[in-house]
Amino acid sequence: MTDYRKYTIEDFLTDALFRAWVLTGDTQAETFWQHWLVANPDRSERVQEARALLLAMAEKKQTLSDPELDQIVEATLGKLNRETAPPTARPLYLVLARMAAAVLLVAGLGWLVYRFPTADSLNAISTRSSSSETRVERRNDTDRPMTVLLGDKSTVILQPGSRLSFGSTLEKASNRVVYLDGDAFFDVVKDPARPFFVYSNQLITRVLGTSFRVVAYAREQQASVSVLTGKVAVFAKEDLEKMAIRPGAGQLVLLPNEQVTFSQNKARFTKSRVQGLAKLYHPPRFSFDETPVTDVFTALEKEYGIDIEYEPEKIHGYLLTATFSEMSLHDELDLICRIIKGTYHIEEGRVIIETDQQLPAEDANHSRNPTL
Amino acid sequence: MSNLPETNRLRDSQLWKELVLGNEQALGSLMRIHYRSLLNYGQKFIRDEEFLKDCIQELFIEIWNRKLTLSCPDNVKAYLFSSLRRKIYREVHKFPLSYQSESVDAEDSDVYVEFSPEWWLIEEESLAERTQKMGYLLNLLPKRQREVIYLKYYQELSREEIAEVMTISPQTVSNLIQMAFTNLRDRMKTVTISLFVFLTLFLS
Repeated sequence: MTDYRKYTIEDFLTDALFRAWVLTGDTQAETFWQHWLVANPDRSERVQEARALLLAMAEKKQTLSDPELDQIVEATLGKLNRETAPPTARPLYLVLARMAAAVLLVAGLGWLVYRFPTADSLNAISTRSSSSETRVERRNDTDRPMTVLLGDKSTVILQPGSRLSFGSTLEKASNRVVYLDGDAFFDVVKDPARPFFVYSNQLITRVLGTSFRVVAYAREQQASVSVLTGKVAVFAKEDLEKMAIRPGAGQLVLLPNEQVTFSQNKARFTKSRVQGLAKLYHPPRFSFDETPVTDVFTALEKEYGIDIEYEPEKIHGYLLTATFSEMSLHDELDLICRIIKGTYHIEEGRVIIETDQQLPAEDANHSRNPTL
Repeated sequence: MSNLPETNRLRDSQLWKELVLGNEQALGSLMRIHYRSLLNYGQKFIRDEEFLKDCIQELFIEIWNRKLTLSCPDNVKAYLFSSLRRKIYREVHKFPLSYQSESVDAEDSDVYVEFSPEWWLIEEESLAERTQKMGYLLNLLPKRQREVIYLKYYQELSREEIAEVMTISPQTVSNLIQMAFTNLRDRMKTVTISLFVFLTLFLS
């Protein structure tokens, strides 16, 4: 048994169990260290110093996603000098196998488990070269809030007269960046490796995974950020240069129910408390009783102000009886896809529904061998 | 310590042997294993990420092209790190002007490790504060001490590997680490004392 009481700071830094706790948040390691600290309160100072030191060195975790790395490796292999070369593209059968596996699993799980991660199969379907990046712009010219879905499954509620733009391959970029002119509420999916940035005329807001509201109209001098859940870092755009040299300089950290207002002429932040954000962004409630899925899609499109693309003949005959309350749009789409034995992904803000095969609804159970 | 580093070393050597035999997937595997670490290391002294990525790609292509004349390195990871270090240094000196115009570090084209902890994303307030302080203290260390600390505790290289990467003796590596910790301890005290003095003044 290791005697951690004799450990110096240097010893802690190289200890595997200690690193597992601090760097990866491993729950077993965490339990161990919490108990150990309770039993050895006189070593707490040393442990905390070591912990902070390790975190300070760890800095940001790697920012390259797996598909990005794959692409870099493929590109490098493609440049090698050689006489004969088998193509190194990702084999199609693998993609198909993964999709089939997902579809079969989903069919098996049925109604109850509605948090089944279909992300894997989605990635496989939507893998495209990130060099084909184009910018997508969404404007809300209606008089009602509009929902914008991002490829990483984050959701944005865009208020009338506001505009949001982002790269079409946002979900694969190392930094998720969107540009906002106006008023929007963000519900960001947590991804520690890829921070999420909202750029606006005056402010830059940076998060990992949280929900918060940004009001920043290009034509106005004032901007504000308020937080519903999680932790958000805000800094003035003009401080960006300073940040590049000394990250962490000149920024403000907001916690839930806190708001910061920035006025450009004074170049100053004012922090205050805010309530009622949760009520403001309450998800809508739907009730369906033997409703054709096509009608369900129409209802969602209308309520959220989104486009859903699907092939009506492929989902003809599916009926839905359900009540959606306290559910996010992504959860609702997940659930519907499970019923119609399909998947969905986001393309330039539109929802694309993919069903595995053209089959009459009665025969849907036999769809064991999808051919695309 | 476990023998995991030893296992990794053997795996790397095996892949190297396969690539010498002309297996390009082995080169791809080595690249997949080490690319992120190399990128992070390179970011320590080059801000231009595209340039850095080009350097890493060229590094692997050169290994492939010269595979028949290169001897298998004892330690592939240390070899990759030291090659990248040399390569960036050479490239930077080849095009000093274009580099200077693009780099924030223009005044210092040497290897220069800077720690940039994302302390504000740490949920626990007191820990966030401490981490910020530590990041500050680390960046006060002399350059070589900083690089040794980074290679040892972030990249988890051994004393011998660090010696190879930085082309210094293993003994010098140990000395640098020791000096770094002496420095850190002294400064931790100074920060605490100055805070204490400040509070005393404030309260009196």
